[in-house]
Amino acid sequence: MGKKVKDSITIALAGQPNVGKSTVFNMLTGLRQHVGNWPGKTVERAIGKFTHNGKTIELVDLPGTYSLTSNSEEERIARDFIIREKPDVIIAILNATALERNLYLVTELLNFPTPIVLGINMVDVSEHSGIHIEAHVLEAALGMPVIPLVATKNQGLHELMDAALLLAQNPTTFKPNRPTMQSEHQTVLTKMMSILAGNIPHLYPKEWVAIKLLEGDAEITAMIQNKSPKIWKRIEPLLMQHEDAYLDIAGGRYKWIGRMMRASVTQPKAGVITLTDRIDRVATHPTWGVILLFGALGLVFWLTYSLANPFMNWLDTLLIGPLSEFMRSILSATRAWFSGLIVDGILGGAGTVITFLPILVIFFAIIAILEDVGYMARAAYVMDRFMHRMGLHGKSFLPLFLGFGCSVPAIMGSRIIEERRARILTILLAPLVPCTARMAVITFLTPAFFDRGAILITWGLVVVNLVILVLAGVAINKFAFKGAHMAFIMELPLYHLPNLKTIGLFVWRNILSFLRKAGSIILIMSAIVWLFSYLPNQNMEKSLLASLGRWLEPAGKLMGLNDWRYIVALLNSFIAKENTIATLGILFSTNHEGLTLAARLAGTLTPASAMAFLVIQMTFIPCMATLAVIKQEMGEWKWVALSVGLYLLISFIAGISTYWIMNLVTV
Amino acid sequence: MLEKLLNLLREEGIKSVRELSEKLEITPNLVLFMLEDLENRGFIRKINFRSNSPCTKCPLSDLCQGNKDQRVWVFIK
Repeated sequence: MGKKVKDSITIALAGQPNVGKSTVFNMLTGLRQHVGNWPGKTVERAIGKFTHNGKTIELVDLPGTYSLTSNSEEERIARDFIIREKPDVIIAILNATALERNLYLVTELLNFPTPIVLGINMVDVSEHSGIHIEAHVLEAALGMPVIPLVATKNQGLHELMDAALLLAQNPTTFKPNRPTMQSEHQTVLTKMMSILAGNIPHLYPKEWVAIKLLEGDAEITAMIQNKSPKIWKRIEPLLMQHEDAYLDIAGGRYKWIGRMMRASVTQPKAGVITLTDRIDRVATHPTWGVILLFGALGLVFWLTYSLANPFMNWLDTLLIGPLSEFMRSILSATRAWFSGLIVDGILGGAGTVITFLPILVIFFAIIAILEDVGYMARAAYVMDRFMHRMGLHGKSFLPLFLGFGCSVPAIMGSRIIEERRARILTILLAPLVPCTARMAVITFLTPAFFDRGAILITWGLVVVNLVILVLAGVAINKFAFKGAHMAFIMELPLYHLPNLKTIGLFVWRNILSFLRKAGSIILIMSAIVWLFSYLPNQNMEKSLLASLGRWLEPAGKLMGLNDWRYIVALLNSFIAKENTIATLGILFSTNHEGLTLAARLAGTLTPASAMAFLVIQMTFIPCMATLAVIKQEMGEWKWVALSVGLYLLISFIAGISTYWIMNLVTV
Repeated sequence: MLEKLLNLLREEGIKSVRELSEKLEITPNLVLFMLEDLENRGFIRKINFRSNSPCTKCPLSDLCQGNKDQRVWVFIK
């Protein structure tokens, strides 16, 4: 390097990482290259010498950088080279498939007076994916030579060198279109340039230094502060007055990139992108999107019911039933309490819960498919906008959305809310979003109580819960956030075909966790429930559990629950929601062998009582795991107590009103 | 352009990258690129449902849905 010889031309090769810059360098220089390190740095430096059209050319490969800030050693090396060595021309290599990003480096290079030639590499790849770049149009818009390249096939490299050579010999013809800034910042820039004139090392272009100062560049700021403290005293107040200039400068660059892209690049008009566009026109539409979402929700229930019910009955009559008979016969020699505990308690309770499996497999599979094709992200987006129109706060909605899986992650997700009061309210409301366990219980019970309209009723129950949620959310927004502004930006991935393995894995993991729960807490509670229904005198109707249930019957009567067994089942759902079914399985077991639990439950409640029971089940006290997380997140027991109290109240009121309304409308 | 984007983000509610790209008349890629820039400058924060914060301590994180590649940002200032 060093001083230029008249017929040797220095060209700097610039570009971001992954643009094929090394390929271009190797193709141009062949074996005539010298590889070493940049003086005093660990970054590799490659220089190649070759002749083109009779001229000796020295090509310097600059480190690959995204921009030219002072944040990394590579960027500092690249800009120092341009400043100190003053190459005749810069060749910037861009990747045709990532033009937006790559053009950013060009906007930074344009702050130097050095002429630039653009080589757009990998045009074959971009054409293949439908991105067409009009090189001539781009050239006219930029005001600098643009050469399309396929470096790996040595296409366009000769033309690239021709253009670089021509520009090196006629530098005055370089009149590029530069990014602009607002007039007030342009004025400051001019003012700063006049202050800097003659007061900075002559190598540094004034305009570049002024722009870097406005951008808050650490290295340049330090240089002026240390070497020219007097100049800094005059410049500092200007910088203080225009603290936001850096946004305007970067913004001007993006605007410039946007303009260039609009002018010269046609994006793909076929294939996945337009398909996604077309689906999203409906799926993310403010009105149609919501309708589609509720439709999808209905479809999920319908599929779960119609596909799972036959399997569930099959499991109950062909597996659990015969297994109970078999166990009873081999345990006939043991004491009555032992055979009762195993058959009526564990098989009748936890065993019945196992018949949930088909519901869960199908439900999780449908959810996994919706997630995998990319619909769930849209559902969250549409729901959030809908909630927002309802006045619900976006930040509390995102964690609440997790509650459809389980309340535990929903409560943990509320950590994204900084404001304590809003967070507490979100945590308190999270259990209102029906989790999969509640949904499974409802899916099991509704067809047992209602022959017709079971799907519609389940759907209605979910909607009622969500309505309560929205109403509560409006209250949150009014009292806790007080109109604080909150915004989210979401990237919606392209739709794609579901992957069987992903779906299988998701279903499998969820099923495994369910079986673990059934084999531990549900099994233990089944044994305990059976024990208390057996003690003290082996008569369920006179058992401890019956006394507890009967003691609560006056409260149950208000909601039409005259049967103590339903009250006990509800209470037990506090341990885990599935325990409702386990408890009913145990308490409704006697003298009805051979019938499925659904068949045994049919007709035990009037429609009004059954509806009230379902509504209470949906709004009852959160399960133990949820309460434990509330304690963990809030740190104080009083919030757990508040949550228990709140849901006791909500379910009580909802149960009573459902019962009375049902009695009014039904005959 | 960055200020225009920031003004759109200042409005309450959820926005998709597509929606922003239509309003600013630029490509979705450029919007994403600007969002990364705003993230680096501390105007927005990426919500990480996976590798840090709430989810790591959750016993159910393995089961939890959530596309790893999908990005969500929240506006902070």
